[in-house]
Amino acid sequence: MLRHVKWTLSLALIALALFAVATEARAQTPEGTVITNTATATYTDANGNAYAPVSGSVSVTVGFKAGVTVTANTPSPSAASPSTADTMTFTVANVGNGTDSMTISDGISVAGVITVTGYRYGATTYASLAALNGALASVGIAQGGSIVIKVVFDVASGKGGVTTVYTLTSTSRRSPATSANASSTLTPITVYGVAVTPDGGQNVQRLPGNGYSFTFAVQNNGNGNDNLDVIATSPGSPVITVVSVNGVAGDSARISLGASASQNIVVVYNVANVAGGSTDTLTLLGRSVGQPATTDPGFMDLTVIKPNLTLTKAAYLDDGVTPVASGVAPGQVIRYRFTITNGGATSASTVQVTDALPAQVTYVSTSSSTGWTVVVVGQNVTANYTGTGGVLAASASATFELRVSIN
Amino acid sequence: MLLPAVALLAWTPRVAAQARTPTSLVVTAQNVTAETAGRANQSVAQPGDEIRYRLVFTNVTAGPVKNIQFVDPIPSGMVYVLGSATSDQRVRVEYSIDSGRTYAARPTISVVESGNAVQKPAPPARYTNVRWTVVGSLARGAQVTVEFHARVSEVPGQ
Repeated sequence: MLRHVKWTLSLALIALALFAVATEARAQTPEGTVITNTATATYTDANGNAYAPVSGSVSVTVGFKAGVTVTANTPSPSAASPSTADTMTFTVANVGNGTDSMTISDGISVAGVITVTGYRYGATTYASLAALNGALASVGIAQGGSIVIKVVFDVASGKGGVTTVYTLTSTSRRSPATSANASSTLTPITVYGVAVTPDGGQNVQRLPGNGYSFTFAVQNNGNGNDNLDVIATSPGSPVITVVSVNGVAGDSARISLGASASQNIVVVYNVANVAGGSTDTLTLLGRSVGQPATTDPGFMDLTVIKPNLTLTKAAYLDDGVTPVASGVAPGQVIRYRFTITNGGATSASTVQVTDALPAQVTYVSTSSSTGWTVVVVGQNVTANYTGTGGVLAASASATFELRVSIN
Repeated sequence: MLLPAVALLAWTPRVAAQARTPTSLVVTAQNVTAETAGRANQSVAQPGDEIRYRLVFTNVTAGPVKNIQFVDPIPSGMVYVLGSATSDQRVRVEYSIDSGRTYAARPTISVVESGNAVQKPAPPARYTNVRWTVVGSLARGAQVTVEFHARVSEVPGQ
């Protein structure tokens, strides 16, 4: 018995549910329906005798009432930036009570992200709304019927992560008109990318010193705005010390770049006083904040350079050609030739040679002093290099020569 | 005073004929929604419009009559507006939700709540008939007017 009651209740619930669904799904009373109301009155006379019922009728004709719904079938279309021939579809339904036709209009919340290139209805793609509406003017949509509009669009470059809302509005052409709309929200997929240049090969040579600078170019190769961390390092040796990055003290800074934009980043650094020929690399790493796994390094190769002077002192006979190979006699004049050579990679300035002549000789004269200012006081010789502006270039040599007699 | 000639809705030829000949029951309809909105074309009703039906019974007999009873089946495509049945005479108003087989002042339906069947007031869409029973007699040549409102249903059959 209890089972029977439960079964009956279940049937009742199902019936109620079906009734609700059917009510939702049905359309309005169709246009042109004639609703006739016929009433009847009965009565008796004072003696209770019944008479034939009398009746009266009136009819109401149902007119047109527009009804439109628009459904975005692709409420969140995915599209790359840039991309072409993307699509999203909308269903326009006639929920009025008679045959109707529609006019389509649209709107885009953020300009420049997408460009609609066509509207497809049926098997035809129309290049403009005017063309589409021209075609739809002759398309009667029956009560409860619908049409599907496919919107074809392109996505501009550099719009990754930029959200825009496309709204399609459908308006009934009949009077009294009504309209409805639906929207699709589009956010092109963000692609991250960064490039830092140069990538070495500069053969930068620097003397030990402070306040040097090097400029890297940092580019956002992604398709949207991004913040980029720029981090300077000099791994491998103690030669380079980073002072500032893009004007910010320390070894890092953060910049913001639009898609495809680039910015020069100046890195200020010091070079330690280490041996000439020491090498180091200054690296600037660009790292996407939006996607930290996206990085790219640029680097600068640096070699420390210094002048490297060597001095040779040789004795020649007074002919200036023949080296002194054996003993010399008192009163004999010989020549001391001083040759200084810069074997370093950079020039040397304020080059000065000093010498104390042996007590067994007496200065006679300066036989050669081109590029030098030679001063001899007693046994003390002081020679300052003044040639080529006082700068002895790398790999260059300079010579002066003194005549002395043997005591 | 409401005359069929000024009814604002479309009339069938049959109704027009009634208006021209003596009769003891005249039914008229007015589109209340269209009037209130000042709609230009009030000759047709739209889904959702509220229609006032007025039934005027005239005693055209030679003497008084009594036991006057109006019965109006709510037409298909209309939904009764609750509480709208009135009269200019003392009447008893009853309603049917089973096409006139039974009448009640407040029809109820059985619904299942939490597994139990309970009685609830019938929704307007379930009303099928309105019945007015006039209390007392009506003198020769006198009239009694009853009326009710119904709404053009948003869905057919209600």
